[in-house]
Amino acid sequence: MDRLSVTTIACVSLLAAAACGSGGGEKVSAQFVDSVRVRRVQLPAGGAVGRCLALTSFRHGVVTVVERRGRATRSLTIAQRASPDVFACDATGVPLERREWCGVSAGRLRNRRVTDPRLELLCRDRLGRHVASAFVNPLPGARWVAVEQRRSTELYPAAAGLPIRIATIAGVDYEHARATFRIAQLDARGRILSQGCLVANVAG
Amino acid sequence: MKPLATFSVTFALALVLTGVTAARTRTFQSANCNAAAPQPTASMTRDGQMNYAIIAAWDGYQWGGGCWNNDDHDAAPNDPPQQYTGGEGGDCSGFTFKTWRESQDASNGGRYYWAPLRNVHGPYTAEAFKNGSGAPNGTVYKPNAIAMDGFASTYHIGLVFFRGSGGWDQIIEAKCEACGTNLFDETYRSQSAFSGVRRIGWTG
Repeated sequence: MDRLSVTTIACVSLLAAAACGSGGGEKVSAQFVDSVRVRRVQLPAGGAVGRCLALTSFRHGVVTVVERRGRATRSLTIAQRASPDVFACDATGVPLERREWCGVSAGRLRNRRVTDPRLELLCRDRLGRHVASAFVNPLPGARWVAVEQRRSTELYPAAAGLPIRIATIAGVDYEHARATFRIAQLDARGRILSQGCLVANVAG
Repeated sequence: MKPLATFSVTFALALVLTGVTAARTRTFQSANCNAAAPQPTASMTRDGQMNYAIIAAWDGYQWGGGCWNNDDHDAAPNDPPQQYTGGEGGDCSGFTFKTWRESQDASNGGRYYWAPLRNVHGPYTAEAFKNGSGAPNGTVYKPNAIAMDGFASTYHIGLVFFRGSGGWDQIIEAKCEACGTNLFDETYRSQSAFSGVRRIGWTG
């Protein structure tokens, strides 16, 4: 885990919580590291990846697919060379209208950074709770984005130089189509590069 | 300084700072918009919703927004694009959500009247509308799209107000911060990036 220690994660969690004005103070009892896999996929594609791709504007050529599997969500982040678009498909294991990908988001890339987090709120988990998913632009040198969840910290690995798709059930304000993510960006040694709140609105 | 005096000074200072902060962050939404419950309605006609939609014309555009009055004046012009700043107007998806009388519950296809000054965006982006996500949303063959059907791309949605000929239609849309919300002649029907979308459940 790149020398990332439990102590560092706990400190990050408390600091992130404090930065968002939540008062912190809740002891982190667990941390979870998401898996990540990067593939180059030739279009057209089949299977779950193909069903996600069908919801994007990519129809030909080769795309880069970053797959993350976490506690609540599985996501695909998809981009294509020379295209200004990046897409994300989100799944929680709970289909939306019989679609395994309950959420799809599209973002514009400028210098490989999205201009908006592209918040997605249509997904629910197995307990019926709304799951918020959003993009985070990784800082130079960022190896992880740590997201404070209700009783744990979840680490999302950076990959392929693309925005990182994160998710949470904490901080979801569904009434206002908004979510607040308490995050920190960490380098490969677990040092904090930045910390704070990402407030995202469903928009566009 | 005695404890009571210390407390009094501190309390007074806190009151002053609260007032300063409140004045600095007052927006069109915080000053004018409400959170009233939507009204379930048994009917929803295309003519009726054209009348509803036209109220928003000239009343601004707000990224992630969903609240406007009917004074034909944008109370918050020149907001930074793609930033949620609490200004007047909806964005394209928020405007469509309200005009189509949708529920915030994506599994609910019922009809709900949202007053113009009710601040609500809804859980859908243009991409979600394009994919027909949510119980009230479907797709339609573009040549068959009529008034109050929509054309949606990955990043934008507009509603047919008057069906034109020769490849253009008069579209009512929350177009952009600089453009505002208004009627525009558009060729979305003939653009491959746009798909036809339709609110399910019109009664007239």
